[in-house]
Amino acid sequence: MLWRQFLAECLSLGTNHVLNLEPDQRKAFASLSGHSLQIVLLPIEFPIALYFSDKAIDVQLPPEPLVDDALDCTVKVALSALDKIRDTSQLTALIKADKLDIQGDLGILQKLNTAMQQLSLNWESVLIPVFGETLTSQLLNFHEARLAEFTQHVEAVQITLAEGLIEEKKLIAPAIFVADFCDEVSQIRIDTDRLQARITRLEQQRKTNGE
Amino acid sequence: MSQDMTTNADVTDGKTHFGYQTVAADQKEAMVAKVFDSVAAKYDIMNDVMSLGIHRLWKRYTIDMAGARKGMQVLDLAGGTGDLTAKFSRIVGPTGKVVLSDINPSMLEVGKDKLRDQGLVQNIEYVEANAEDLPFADDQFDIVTMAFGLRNVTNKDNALASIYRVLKPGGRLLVLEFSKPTNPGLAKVYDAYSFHLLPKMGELVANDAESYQYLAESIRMHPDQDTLAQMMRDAGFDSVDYTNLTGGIVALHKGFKF
Repeated sequence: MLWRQFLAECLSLGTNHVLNLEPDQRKAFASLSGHSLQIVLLPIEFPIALYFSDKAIDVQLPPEPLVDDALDCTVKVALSALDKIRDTSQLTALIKADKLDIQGDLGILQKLNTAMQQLSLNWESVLIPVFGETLTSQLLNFHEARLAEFTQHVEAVQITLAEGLIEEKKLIAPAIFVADFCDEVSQIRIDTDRLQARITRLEQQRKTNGE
Repeated sequence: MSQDMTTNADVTDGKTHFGYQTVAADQKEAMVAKVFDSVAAKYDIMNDVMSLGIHRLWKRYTIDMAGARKGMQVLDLAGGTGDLTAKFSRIVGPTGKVVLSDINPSMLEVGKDKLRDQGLVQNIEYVEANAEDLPFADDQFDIVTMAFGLRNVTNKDNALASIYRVLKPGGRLLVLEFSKPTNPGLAKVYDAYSFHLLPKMGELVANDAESYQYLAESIRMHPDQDTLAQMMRDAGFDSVDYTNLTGGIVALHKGFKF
């Protein structure tokens, strides 16, 4: 039952550890000090609350979204649009598409965007103190190789899907053919019913003549 | 010696308990102060070692249940080295206020230094106070928290009444405290850990086995979940309930003043 708190503690420790590696990274968040921001991921309604101070960012994962006025800014964003909110020019389009809702001080989100854009993480300097040079080099090489493989795989799947769609489209009957086919089926049904009725009448006549 | 000596009769005929010892009620405060003077410098390290870091999750859960928001007035009672205060300070922001209060000046000093090092200064006030007789105005705080402090108070009923007085109507009290494990198997393991391993760890890390022996004993003497809930109701709190954490090793009690 404490998994949310465990995840929040890990996120807080990890974020602050990384930011403390280089003073410039910490400075990028200075303008957010004293402010708070909640990001609610839709449609799962998963809240992430961020509290900024001079020397740390505290991440909290409350059990349910906090009321809007509990923090300076609340951003409700669809998971599919999460990567797009970094581009402030797309915010209006996202709001119109019902993928984004912002309550409170929009400036907080803009400041966070600016700070995130200034981040330039050097993963070697992050990992070497923990794993040492050799293991870090192997980890990064492994990660790059897997990432390249994954990217290649995704591209291959995309090509297959695209080709499949184009080829399948050729085989799909046009709407007019489908409508004609439906008309023909209806006509056959009517003819069959008529024939059935005629057979029934003939059988009745035969029975009458036979008597 | 029985390790389940739960009672809510804090003071009888001028006597009370200090761990498993019976002492004069007016001596307990000084004896508890001595324990915390001794452990103050290494309190945070020992908390991490003793609980394997889980105390951080218990405190986070308390914060999540507190319902704090910007602009609120929060009292972190027996706040020690200020773990809850640090988080509340960021949540209530510059328009709110957090009072870190502890009866022990050594603990308060460690907390003050730690919070200053974290850059948290503008909305925190430090007050040396006895929980049984809080030096605050009536109806002052939106939230009062007491994490791992109530069991050291000489007269818990007095402390709960004092907390009730300083809470605003609509305010809430959260008491995070060691309690009684609900699973008998876990209780046996926990007893073995508390009475055999914990004092040894205290000796190794803080060079102070006696203080950690007291901590283990004081946990056993603390009222169980239902008893504490009833004590809160008797003090006037409404909608009192509790949540067991880590199998009841710790419980978070919550009550409102309406």
